[in-house]
Amino acid sequence: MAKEDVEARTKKQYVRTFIFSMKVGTPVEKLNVITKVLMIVVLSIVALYMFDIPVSKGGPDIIGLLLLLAMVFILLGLAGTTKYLFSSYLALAIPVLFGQFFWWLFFNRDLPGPKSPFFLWPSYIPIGVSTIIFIATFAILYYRMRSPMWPLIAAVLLWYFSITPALLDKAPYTWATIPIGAAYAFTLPSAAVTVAFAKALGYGVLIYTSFLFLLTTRDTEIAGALTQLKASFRVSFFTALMFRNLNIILLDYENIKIAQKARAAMVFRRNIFSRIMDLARISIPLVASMVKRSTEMGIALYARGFENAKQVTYFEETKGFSYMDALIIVILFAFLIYTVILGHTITALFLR
Amino acid sequence: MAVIEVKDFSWKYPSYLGEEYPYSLKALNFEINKEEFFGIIGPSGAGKTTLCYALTGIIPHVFRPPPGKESENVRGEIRAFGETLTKVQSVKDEATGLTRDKIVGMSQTAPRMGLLLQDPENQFLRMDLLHEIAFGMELLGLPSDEIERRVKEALEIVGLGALWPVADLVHPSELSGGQKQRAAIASFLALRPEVLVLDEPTSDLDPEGKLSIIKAIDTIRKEYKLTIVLVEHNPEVIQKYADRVLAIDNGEIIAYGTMENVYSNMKLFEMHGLYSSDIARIGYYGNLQFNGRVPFTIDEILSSIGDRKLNSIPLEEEKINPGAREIIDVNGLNYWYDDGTYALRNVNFNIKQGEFVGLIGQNGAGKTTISRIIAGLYRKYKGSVKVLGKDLRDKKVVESIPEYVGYVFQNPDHQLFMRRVYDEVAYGLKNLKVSPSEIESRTKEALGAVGLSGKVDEDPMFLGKGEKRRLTVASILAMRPSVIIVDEPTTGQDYRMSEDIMQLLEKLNIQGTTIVAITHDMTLISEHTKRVIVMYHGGVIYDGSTRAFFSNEDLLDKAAIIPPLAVRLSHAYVKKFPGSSYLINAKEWVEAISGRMKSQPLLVT
Repeated sequence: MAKEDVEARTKKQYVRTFIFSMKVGTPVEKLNVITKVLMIVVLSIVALYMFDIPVSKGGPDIIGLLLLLAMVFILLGLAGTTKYLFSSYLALAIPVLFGQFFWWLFFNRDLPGPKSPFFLWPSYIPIGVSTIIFIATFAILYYRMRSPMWPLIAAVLLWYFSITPALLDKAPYTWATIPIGAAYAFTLPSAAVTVAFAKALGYGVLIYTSFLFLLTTRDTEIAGALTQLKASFRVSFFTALMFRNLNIILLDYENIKIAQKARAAMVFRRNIFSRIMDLARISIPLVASMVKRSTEMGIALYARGFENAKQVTYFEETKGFSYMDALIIVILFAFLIYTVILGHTITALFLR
Repeated sequence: MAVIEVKDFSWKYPSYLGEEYPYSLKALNFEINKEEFFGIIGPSGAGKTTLCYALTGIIPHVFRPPPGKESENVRGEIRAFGETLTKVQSVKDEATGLTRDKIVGMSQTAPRMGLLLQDPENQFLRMDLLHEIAFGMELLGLPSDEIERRVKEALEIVGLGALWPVADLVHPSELSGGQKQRAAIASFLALRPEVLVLDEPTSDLDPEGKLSIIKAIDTIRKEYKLTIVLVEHNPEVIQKYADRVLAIDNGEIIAYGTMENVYSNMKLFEMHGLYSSDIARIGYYGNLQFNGRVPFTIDEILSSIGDRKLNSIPLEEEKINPGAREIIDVNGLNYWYDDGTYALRNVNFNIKQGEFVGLIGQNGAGKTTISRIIAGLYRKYKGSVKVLGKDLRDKKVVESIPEYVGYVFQNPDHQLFMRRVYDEVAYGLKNLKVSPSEIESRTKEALGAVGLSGKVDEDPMFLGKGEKRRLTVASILAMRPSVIIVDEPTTGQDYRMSEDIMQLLEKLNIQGTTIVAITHDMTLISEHTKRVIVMYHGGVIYDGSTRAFFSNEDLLDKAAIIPPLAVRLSHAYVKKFPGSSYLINAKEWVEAISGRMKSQPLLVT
């Protein structure tokens, strides 16, 4: 590439991905889609394995899961996705992970230790109050600071201190006993906390790996990856065309939705039925537009000679494998072999 | 030498619903010569796009008639490059021994012919610019180094050379409409076709963008010995570049010949609702001739007028009513996109009740963004926007804004949600919780105002293009907003339809509705608005009288706006006769000329 072309290329900072954009020239941008897909698969297997280790066999691999999560976050950071997007998706996943945590904390009955009468209504009070404190702290600080990191830290600390007074360590296998009046005590087995935390971490790994894929993969790369996997030109082309269509449909949907808003669809609060009907009405112009666009796309294909194509040239369709791909694959398989195949845990490695 | 020959060709679309369609193309006979710039004109629905499909073999090789109906749907023959492109022939079926009709000819015209359609969005088939241009060549199986060389060259030719180093990183959504259309042209140029058929390729572009693309195409034609077939409404483009012109209406040829012959027949243009240029209209209605025909260029009409000075006529100016209520007040408005690029910078203006304002500027100047903010559709802005004194930063105000500001979108197909014309107009009123009796009376009134009273029970999807546009105006009109914003009301419509819409808007304006028209059509601006707000790169660079704007050549240059021919004629005339008034539209010119010519008709030969 000529020197001036290289200079022009450096001026383009961001490139569009499935959702939003990522920085050009980062190690993650250079990753092959096949590596990313492999990463989703291997990390999912390893994370599922790590949080599913029975308590009788040492319990979930917390340090392993933390390492996996850290790896995904480092890759997200390296991808240079804009701070705003990164923060939004980070924040979006947190309620889900909290939900996971509490679900496994309260409803995981298959654990050693005393079974607690935690379905009694007052037991929810301290948990509920602390959760409200967490959400309110995060929301208020985020609204004022427009950045998620400090609000998140502050919210976690406040949540911890608000729940701690209620947590009184009592018996073996018991992480906490929450006194509820004189008659009842809400007992949390210590294993429940570990398992719940591990589940939240594990699902965090799955969620953020998916985000990594969506935030750092260009739709155009899919066709190339399929080509590398020896799919026929027609299969890879029509898969890519599907993404192109999706892009256009979204544009049309936005325009139609705005047009509906301009016709007073939002002036008064309306019942759910009317709103569903409005959604259904969008389909009328949307389908008509899709039919027209598909016809014209067919014509455009014909005009380029698609029907008679015999010996197709693959012009820069595929992306090669870089050192970064090799490094990621080695790390992934190291995790896979060490944990799933050999049955070790990273936590045990650290605690040894 | 003819590169395409059309002989008695007729076509009708196959019907699968029982009722037969009429012929879309009827017994057409014409030829297109090698290396010619061939123009096709006609009103909306004339069959121009169908003809483009026929010239490139899409009809009937892709849109095929059902078996047994070949000779009914297709008649005559089209030849391309000396071979049969389309013809119905009787052939003997070897299995049955019976004869049957069969469509014969070249089933594939690529890469020798290229077809570019109106909407560039639908032709962008790949997810990045590099592969979009390379796609056709990949299908041809060209070597990679040849593809790379041709992509680079094609991008240079269409003026997108600066994007070459990053072509593989450019997503279609990052390109403007004009850039997408240039990319579409480049994708065909890279295939080195012999014939390029272009169906209204620049209808969404501003005048400067339009002319620069057509100029680029003409340069390419000369350099690469291409034949260009261009469907275009804009008479200035056809008159400047076309060697010969074919005019069709209702699938039939209404005129065919040299540009001069076709455009001299002004009666034909009137009868069929075709666009004619300002100069031709001034010449025709002002009874001016040049070499025995209507003049086409500024030089020709100036020569027709000669050295004599025109009579002055009373010029209409903006009538500002100081007591009028302020409808829209925009103060220090800034808006930027998610990626941080500015769309609007410190925009200030206000619009009073009863005004008819033109909002103009190049593609991407910020016209649509600002009008969508005023209509309460975009909210992430900084600054103050007030409608009838109510601040749009207040969530309750912005939610109720459709009651006060009506927005008619560019594409009517995106704003018709209901299955009945009546329900379409009533939809907004129901949302506003208007009483049923009021809904009925307002709906009928609005449909009457746009001339659709007789179509209350029809499905909006099956209305004609002009009728759809009028229905969208009616659906806003029924809500009785104080101001109506119309975004590109005449794009892709013929002269008669455009005039219908503009007259409807003028009528509403006279009745008291404030109108803001966003358009690239400077002729409409010069004919219908007295005030313009001119935007450039997200800022307002002029706000004032339309005449003063068009009179100022420096300002026109700064705004990168090509004024209508009537205005350019004024500039030339004023240079010749300093101190003369600036006449900005054909109507004013005709009045000025006719007034003087009553005593002395002018015929220059």
